[in-house]
Amino acid sequence: MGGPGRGDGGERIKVSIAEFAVASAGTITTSGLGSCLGVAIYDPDAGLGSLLHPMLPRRNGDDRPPARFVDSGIDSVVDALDDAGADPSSLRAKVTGGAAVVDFGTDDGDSIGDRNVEAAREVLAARGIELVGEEVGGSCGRTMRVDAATGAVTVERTDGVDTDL
Amino acid sequence: MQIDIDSLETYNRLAREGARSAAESLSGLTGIETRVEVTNVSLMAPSDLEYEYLGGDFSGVRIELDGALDGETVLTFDEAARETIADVLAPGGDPGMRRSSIEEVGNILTSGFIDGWADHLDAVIDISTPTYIEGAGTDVLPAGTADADGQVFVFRSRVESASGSLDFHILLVPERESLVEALEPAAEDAVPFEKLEVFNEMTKSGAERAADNVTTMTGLETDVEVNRMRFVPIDEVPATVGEQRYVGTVMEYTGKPSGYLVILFDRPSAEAVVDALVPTETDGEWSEMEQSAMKELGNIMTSGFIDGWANVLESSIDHSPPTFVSDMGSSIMSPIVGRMARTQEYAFLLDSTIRTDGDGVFRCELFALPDEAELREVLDDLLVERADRTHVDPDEVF
Repeated sequence: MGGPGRGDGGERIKVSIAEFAVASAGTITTSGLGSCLGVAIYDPDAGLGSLLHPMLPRRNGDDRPPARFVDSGIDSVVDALDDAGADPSSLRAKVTGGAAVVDFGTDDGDSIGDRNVEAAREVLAARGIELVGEEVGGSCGRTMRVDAATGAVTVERTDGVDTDL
Repeated sequence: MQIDIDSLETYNRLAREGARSAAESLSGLTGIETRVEVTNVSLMAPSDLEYEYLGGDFSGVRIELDGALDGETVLTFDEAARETIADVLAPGGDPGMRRSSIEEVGNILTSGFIDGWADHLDAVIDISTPTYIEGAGTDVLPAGTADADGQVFVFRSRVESASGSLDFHILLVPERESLVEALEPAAEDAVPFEKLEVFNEMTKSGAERAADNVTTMTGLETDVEVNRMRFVPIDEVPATVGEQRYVGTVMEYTGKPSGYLVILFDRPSAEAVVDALVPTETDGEWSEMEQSAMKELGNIMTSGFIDGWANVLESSIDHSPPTFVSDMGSSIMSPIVGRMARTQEYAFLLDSTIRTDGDGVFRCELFALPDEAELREVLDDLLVERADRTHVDPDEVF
């Protein structure tokens, strides 16, 4: 888990929880987004895109899979985009997910989903990556599709509402 | 016979690496990218194995293993994968040639799968000539396991391609004693195999009581058809449950052990049970009354399930009021797994399927996720303090 997926042949690349993929062509997809996030970071000038599917906000330690967490996952993705030839100053991001699919009455304060969204906003801002699109929160699961070359994102919610970001 | 739970992680990793090597070989042969979707170790009755292969027509190869590891490996392609492979390797070939291409690919993939185990064990594993298999259910099952005594460990990987054109399953069913002997000596905190077996049987009894409660409340005849204990990397729990849409309830339970119980009906089954409880016209949305009927059913099922554990474990286990859920299976599991992943890397996923006896119209999945460390403690206590009960037939306890 956690390693970067590959893709340059224009095919569909699937990303699971605690994984990410970087590609220059094709569609990167992830499904079953509940409280998890789908984070697309892309460089439209270089024609490079990515999709990260983290489960928890912050890693707090270094012995766990980086892509499981929003903060370390974004670090890994940005490194991989950098290696692939993206210009760090051109990166933009779109975020979806962070729903409360299960209403835990005992949660004190924000749900995991809320905290994931908050962490993504903070980490992206700290890295100077502009967050240009968001479709987050609520109580529905989501499927995310990222067009790798352009960064165009489609979000399909389980209540039937589709959004283009 | 003792099983070191930590070594289950090693076994699981071996199975995953073996499956990855098989997936890479297949991608190399066909040019189609494939990836290991899930890998887990299950403890289950041999008779439940056939449910892995229901509802489809599979073909592949079976090999027997001998030496450092005794047992069987079965690799099966679904219909789409069979077509893809035959089209790539034997384009325009007659049925015999197409079948040979499946045999050949199956042969290459299973060798790659077993090599990782042999390397890890630093020993030789002899592989029999592959036998071609075709069919569904028991037709493709490891021959020696159907009549095995007691429960068996099953290593299972699901490999998928993005287009769905090249999916396969690989199963390894080692002989129990051979598996234990092959791996490192059990640590001091190892759990007797029989304990895991009894815990699994307790879970089945709990699921049967839950099923009885469904029948009592709704009048629908039900039966527990599959019951297994799976040991799964925590990140893979949502993918293990899958992307299909479900309706049901989530409960958190506290005590020893604590954890979550997720009861998921496929949509037609959810409509059937709710209709039996509150016969109203539904418009696709779940009304307050229907949600509350589903929660009440969840409550009754949970009580049946959890009480079974608490009785044998002589502990008190309380559960929260049920929360109604209606979403993709993996989306429902993600916040639960998120909570558990703070403290554990692997999960014991106890999975029971309740169905109708007949045509399978009714289907409900129970997933229990006990806290891993607490489950170990519970098993340990059961061993030390109530060892006599480990040999009790769960039927006598409930």
